[in-house]
Amino acid sequence: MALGGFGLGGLADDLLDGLDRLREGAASAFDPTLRLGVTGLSGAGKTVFITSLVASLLDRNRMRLLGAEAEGRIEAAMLRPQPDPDVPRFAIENHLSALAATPPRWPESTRSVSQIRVAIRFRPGSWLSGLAGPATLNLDIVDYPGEWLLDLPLIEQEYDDWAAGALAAAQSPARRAHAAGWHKALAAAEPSAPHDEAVAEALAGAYRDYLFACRQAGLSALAPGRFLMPGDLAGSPALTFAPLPRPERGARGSLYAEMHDRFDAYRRVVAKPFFRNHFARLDRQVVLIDALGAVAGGPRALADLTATMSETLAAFRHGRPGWLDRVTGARRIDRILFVASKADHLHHAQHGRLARLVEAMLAEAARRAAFRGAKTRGMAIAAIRATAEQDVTEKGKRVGLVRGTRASDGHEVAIYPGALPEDPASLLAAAGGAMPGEAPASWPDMSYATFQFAPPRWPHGEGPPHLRLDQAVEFLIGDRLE
Amino acid sequence: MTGERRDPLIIDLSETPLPPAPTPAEAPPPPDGAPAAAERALRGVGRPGLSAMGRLFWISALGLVGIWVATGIEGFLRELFTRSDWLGWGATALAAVLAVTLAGFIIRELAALARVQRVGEIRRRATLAASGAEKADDVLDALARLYRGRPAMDEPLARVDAARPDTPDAAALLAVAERTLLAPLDQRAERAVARAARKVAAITAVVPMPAADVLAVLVVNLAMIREVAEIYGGRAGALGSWRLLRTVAAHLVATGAVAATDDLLGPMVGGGVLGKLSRRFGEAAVNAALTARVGVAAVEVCRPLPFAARPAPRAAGLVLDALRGWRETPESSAGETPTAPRRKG
Repeated sequence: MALGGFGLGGLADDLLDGLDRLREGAASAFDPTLRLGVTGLSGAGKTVFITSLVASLLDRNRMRLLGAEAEGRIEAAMLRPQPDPDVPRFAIENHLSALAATPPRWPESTRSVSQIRVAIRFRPGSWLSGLAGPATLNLDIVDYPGEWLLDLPLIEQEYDDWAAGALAAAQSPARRAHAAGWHKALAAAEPSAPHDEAVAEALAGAYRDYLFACRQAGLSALAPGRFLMPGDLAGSPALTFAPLPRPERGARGSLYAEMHDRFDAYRRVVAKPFFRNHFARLDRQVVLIDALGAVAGGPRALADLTATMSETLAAFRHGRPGWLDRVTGARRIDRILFVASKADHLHHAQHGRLARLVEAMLAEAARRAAFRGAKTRGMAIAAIRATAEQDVTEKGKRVGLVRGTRASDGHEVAIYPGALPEDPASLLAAAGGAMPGEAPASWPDMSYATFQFAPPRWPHGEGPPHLRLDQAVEFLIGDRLE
Repeated sequence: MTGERRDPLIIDLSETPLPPAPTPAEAPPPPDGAPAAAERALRGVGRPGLSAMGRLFWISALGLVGIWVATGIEGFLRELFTRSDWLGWGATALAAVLAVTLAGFIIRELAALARVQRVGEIRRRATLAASGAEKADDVLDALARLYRGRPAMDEPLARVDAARPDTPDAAALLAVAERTLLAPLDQRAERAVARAARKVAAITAVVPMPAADVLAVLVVNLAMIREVAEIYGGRAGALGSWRLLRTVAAHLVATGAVAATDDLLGPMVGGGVLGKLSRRFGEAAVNAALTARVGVAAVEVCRPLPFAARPAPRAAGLVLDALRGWRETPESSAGETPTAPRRKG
């Protein structure tokens, strides 16, 4: 074949020059991205999960069950500028330095939305595409206060329904005691009277106090979320409302009508934008649940958490993306991982039961998602493992302890938090009632302890110790690293 | 319930000491079953060959076809004998020549295959010899047998022999052999790879039909593997080439296609940026890089000694050399024409 030299040399030079120029800027624009939604109420461990996930992707020495890492195909990972310039960056450095401080501290609870992007460079798994060279996957993760998640069910609710539900829940045995102050303020207010800002603020304040009291008692259904964690909206009219019983005639300008308007404003300016900006375009979702904490909190806490999570998850777009979604660029969540966080508080012999408990709690949501074609799985993990296991023999019985440092005083402590039942149904049945609030105050024949462990120490340059974080990551993004 | 403790228990170790235990950072992970991905990684290392059933199938199929061909020829010869004895004898003679040449082919292929295997065996023993588990002298003898027939190798072989008595250290002796015997071969092999990469780039940039360039790339690559094998170990033959291709493919998979950290071109074109700007040049660069990687893998598979004293060739360097060679005269390959690849694939 006679291939003449018609400008090929010049073309080759242009080619190399062009490659050099384009490499930095344009290459990242075409890299595929994957948005991972980390979902969980406050205290479920979102921030720790994200911190550990990012740190473990950067230093992958403990990620041996992440398939691409086990096959040695991940070359490097680094933090990249996030896509949304108007959202603060997730303060991974601060969180890691808190964990590395003396004494080590857990990252502070989240007060506003933040975002981070990890770029993973890997060699594709099939050798045919492997020949084309390494590929890059951008993993976008959003952190936000867990309280705000409670707003998602409000998006579809009307004020009348929400107020009626909130008023009824406050009458339940689980909540009546906490609602005393608010009920007093409610009795003093007249819904059909003309709007008075002082009355509105008193009602909203009393309702907020009631929600805080409920949270102290370990309950989860605490909408609206901004009452607990207002962000930059503290004191604004959109946050100054409370549920009121529907009057006979809700005249224009009455207190009830004003509350109605403000609830709508809250949905419009708070709940909907939050959902649209951060949850409507997810590819994968991990649902974190502090199931052990809820079990220790008693049947009421467990029932409340189950109901709240089920309601919240209904807001997401689950299912396999159809051709129409692909054409329009819409995204759907096609994999959901239900995670019992803080599994390090339990000996691994009980981890299977913990995972089954979470699966049973979210069975409704999982069925819904599976029906639309999404893959779901339950898993007990500890994003950062604060304990090691130790077996002791006590009166001839073997007890599997977990051993770590107590957060409060730095003492070394070994605990056994109690035996979870083999069949989670027995727990859920004991917790179940007509309404979450109707559940009994304590377990009939079991008791559980919770505990605050201090973070572990681990050598610099290594990923944090964890339990099954690598398996969780494999389920969530493993197929995109093939 | 199986005698399991039910109520919680909290032990403060400052009051009730327990035996020492590992810290969370040192503690072993929970004994879960390894999930599918890790299993896949282990399995990917050992490529599954033919199963017993598959082997039985091929043997019986080949046997049947053989009998069919043999009886067919026999019947045909009989028929010719019934017509005329002359015709019968003539055809029989032709059939005998056919059988002899066929046997010759088979013997040649088997010999070539054995040569390919011998090179692999030398490499395996050289690796052992470097760590002292095998005598370096035996490896050198095997190398000498491999290269004895080549006139160009007589002088280097004599130099290696001269160095033997005063080089007691096995690794040093192997290094001498590698530098003296293989350095010229390495240069030839690298030049062959760069030439193939350039050829592939030119073909992809010029040939407009997508299916045709795929075929051309495949042909050039196969020819390159054969050439590399010939440079290092003599003629590979068809069977040997096929076997080499499989080994090179397996090698590419095992090393993840490239030692990609040193590879510049992969990320530059891998994202398809250039491909989006100009499809043909993007593909030309990708194909050239691909060919260079296949070539490097072929060199690693065909070289009778592992790269120890001399640096292993890098795919990126070869590609850049190849593409630059379009215009400039590369110093390393003085015999090349500066403009375009001249040889057909």
